[in-house]
Amino acid sequence: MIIENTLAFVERLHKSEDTPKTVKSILDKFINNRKTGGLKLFMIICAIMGASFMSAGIFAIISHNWDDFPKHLRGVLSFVPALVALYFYYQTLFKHKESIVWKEASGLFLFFMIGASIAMVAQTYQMDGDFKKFTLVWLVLSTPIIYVSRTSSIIPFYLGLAGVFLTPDIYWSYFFPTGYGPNEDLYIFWIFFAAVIPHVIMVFNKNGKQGVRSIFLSYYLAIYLTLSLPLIFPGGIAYWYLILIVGFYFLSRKYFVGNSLRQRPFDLALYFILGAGLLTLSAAPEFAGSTYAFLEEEPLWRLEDYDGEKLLFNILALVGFLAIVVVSILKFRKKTGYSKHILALPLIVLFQLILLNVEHYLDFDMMWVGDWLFYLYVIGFSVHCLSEGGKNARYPKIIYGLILISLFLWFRYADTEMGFIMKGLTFMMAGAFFFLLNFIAKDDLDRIEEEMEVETTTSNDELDER
Amino acid sequence: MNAKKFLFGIFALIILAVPAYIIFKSEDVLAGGNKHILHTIGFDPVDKFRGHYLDLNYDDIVLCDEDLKKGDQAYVVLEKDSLGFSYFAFAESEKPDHSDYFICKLKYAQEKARLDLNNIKRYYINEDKVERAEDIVQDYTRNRPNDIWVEVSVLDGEIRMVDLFIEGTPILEFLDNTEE
Repeated sequence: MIIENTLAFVERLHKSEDTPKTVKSILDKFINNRKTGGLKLFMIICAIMGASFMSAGIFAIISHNWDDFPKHLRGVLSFVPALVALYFYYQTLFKHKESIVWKEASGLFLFFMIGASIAMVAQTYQMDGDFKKFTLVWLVLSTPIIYVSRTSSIIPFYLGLAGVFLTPDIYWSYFFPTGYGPNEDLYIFWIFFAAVIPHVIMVFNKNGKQGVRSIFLSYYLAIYLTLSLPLIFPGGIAYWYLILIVGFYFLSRKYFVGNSLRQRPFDLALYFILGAGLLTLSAAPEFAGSTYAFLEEEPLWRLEDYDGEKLLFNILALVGFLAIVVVSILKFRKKTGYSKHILALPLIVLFQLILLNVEHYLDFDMMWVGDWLFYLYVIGFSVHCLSEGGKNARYPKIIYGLILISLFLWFRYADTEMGFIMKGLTFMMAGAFFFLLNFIAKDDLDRIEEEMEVETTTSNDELDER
Repeated sequence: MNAKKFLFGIFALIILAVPAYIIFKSEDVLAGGNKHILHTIGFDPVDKFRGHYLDLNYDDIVLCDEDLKKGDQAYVVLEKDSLGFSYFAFAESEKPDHSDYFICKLKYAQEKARLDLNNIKRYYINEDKVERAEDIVQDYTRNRPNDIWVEVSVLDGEIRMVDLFIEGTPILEFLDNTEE
């Protein structure tokens, strides 16, 4: 309603003869953008889809293997995909340099055709089954496209291919695979990942609300990092997830403040990871002994047993973890408006880490303190989500808080350390709390319905009078 | 604008230089390299980017220098047996003083090494011919192993496949000459 009224006001202002020319020209741009924005986006998406399907078709035609042609002819034909793509890319850079459609489509097409040319030569000379080497050359040659034409559409494919350097290595004996471990070329993934970061920051660095390109890139990066984190960091995974949660939070605060929740992928991802993490750890006492048993998977006292990448990533994880602890404390103290419910998490984990080491070195069992602190955090975080959601009428947040707290309480029902009477009273109180919420919501609903009825009656009376 | 076009030209040349380098290097090894024939067995998977191929396996476990370990690049020496077939004889850490060797990564090494023979493992083949080719390769592997071989060419540490032969005829010719 507010948006419609504002738009009507803008239209009137635009038509009015009293509006100064400078304001009119700004309004002109706004109105045109509003009318054509959706169409432009549709054109960009169509061009990207066109380039990707066209490329897939060319790959399929190459894969047919034209072995009836003489080798020298196939050698010459290998250059054709890259040459055609370079022609379109040239057109983009020198004839259509303002067109996003050309930039995205020709950049993506060139990216694929570089791969097609190399694939065709490899096929002609019956060589190189090493997919890693093929990918390495392909990505190195494609990296300039991201910056020369600022093409974002290749990022998903680029990082998807770089994922080759994330897949676990299989260890061999003479005859059989004997196990698997971190990819020995993991550092190459890191180089390619680092290569896209400046582009992503350039896209994010704009005033006001983030547009479609940033939101699309953020969704991709948030999902990619969340799913592949255990492969990207082969040591200290629990700390890295914590760093990711806090990192996503700061990224969202820095770049996505003006956007709605569904346009803030980093926020969505952090709530997803946090919710899944809190629920898993809430259930952990039943099978692992405590809510922070995960810290015992790679404890400080075992660092000296590690070597190579595992040691390096454990140390980096600890340094990163301590860094976010320091940042969280600083943000807490400065009263910057950051969510204390997110910033409290690293501090709780630090406290648990200290308790774990106290128990190990001093043989002094205080694990239950860490557990209760964690329980209080989950309850506090859930209630915070409920109250924030209630205040701003954000029902997804309310439902998120409800799911979190109710599942947390159900996990507690399985606790064997709590006496039945205590458990019974706690659960009855929880039941009463939910009924109370129901009554409050019912009161609100009745009030709103009454107000609507009054409004309708008044409008009808006014119409009758006329 | 001219500087930009010049830079674009360099970028385009770099992109085109990669397939060109692979072609010239391969032609060099194929034309000037020492020829060897190797026993092989094969089957048919698909590469989504490069199409159907016969996956060729060799006797790839060889004696090696003690200082070599998993992931190292080694100099693999080729020797010939009494029937004229070559085999991978030894993986050395030092470059040999003759030219019958190629450089290869080791999948595993402890007294003996398992070779990572990427450059001669795939025989890319037309999708219409692959099924027959696979049947023929498997038939010869089982029943007449001395009549199927791969010819390779080695030069300056590089190795390339010349062709896959059935009874001394390149497999594509063999397929053309034999009825379905």
